Amino acid sequence: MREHAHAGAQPSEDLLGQETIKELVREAYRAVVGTTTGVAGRLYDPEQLARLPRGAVEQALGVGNPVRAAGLQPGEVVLDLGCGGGIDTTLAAHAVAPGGRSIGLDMLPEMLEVAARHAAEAGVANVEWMLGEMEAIPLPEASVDVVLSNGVINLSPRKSRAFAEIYRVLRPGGRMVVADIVVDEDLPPEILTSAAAWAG
Amino acid sequence: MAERVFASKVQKVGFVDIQRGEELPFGVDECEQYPLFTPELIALMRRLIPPERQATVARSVIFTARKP
Repeated sequence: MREHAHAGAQPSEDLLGQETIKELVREAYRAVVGTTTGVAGRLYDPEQLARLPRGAVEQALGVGNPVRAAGLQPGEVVLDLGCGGGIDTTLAAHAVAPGGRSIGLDMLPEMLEVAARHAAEAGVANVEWMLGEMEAIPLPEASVDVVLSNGVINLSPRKSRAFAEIYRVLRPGGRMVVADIVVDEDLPPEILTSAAAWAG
Repeated sequence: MAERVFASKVQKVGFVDIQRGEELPFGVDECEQYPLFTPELIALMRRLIPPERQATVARSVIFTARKP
C-alpha cells in the first residue's frame, strides 16, 4: 500500500460541515462487517461472483456494476475510487490482464488491508492499493485510462472537487464510469436531515 | 443527488459524451443494506414514505463520460 502526498493542486480550506460529513462516512464504513451476499447478488453476474472470494462478495457495498459497463480492455490502467472491500478493483484487474493494472483507492487503511487480502485470495497480482481521498487523488495528471466509482461520489461533501480530480487523473480519451444513487422526488424533511442524506 | 445536478457537475469540469446506462430501482429494503442508513433512519423511512413509494425511493444509475 502506498500513501502519497497529493500530486495535484493544494486543497482549499475545508468547512466544518464537510469534515463532519467525512467523519460520519468514515465511522459508518469502518464499522462494516460483511455478513450478507445480498448487495453483490443483486448487482453482479454469476460469472463475476465466481471469480471472487466470499469475503469480497459479502463486503460489497456498491450500488451498480461499473466494471460490466466499463468495457475494460487488456492493458488499461483502472482506478477504483473508494474501493472498499475491493470487489470492483479485483474484477477490473481480471479484465485488464495481461498488461494492465487496477488501483484501489480508499480513505480507510483497514478497508485497503481487507481489499488486498481479497485480491490475493482471488489470485490477482496486477493490483495496487492507495490510501487517499477522492477529492485529492494521489496520482499524477493523465495517468489512468478508466476511473470507476461505485456508490462513492454521493458520499463526498465536495462532489465537484471529486469530479475535477477524476478529470485530472484521466488520460485524454479516458473514461469515467460511475454508479450512484439519484433521487427524483423530494423526501420528507426528517429524512433529508439524516446523515445518509447529508452524504447524498 | 438529482440526476440533472450530477450531469451538470460532470459537464462543468470538462467531460463529454455523458451518458446514462443501466439503472435499478432503489427502495427502502435496498437502503437497509448500507451502513449510513441506521435502523432508526430505516424505521423513519418506513413510517414517513408512503408504502407505494417505498420500493422506488431512488434509482441507482450508471453514468459514463469521456475526457476529450
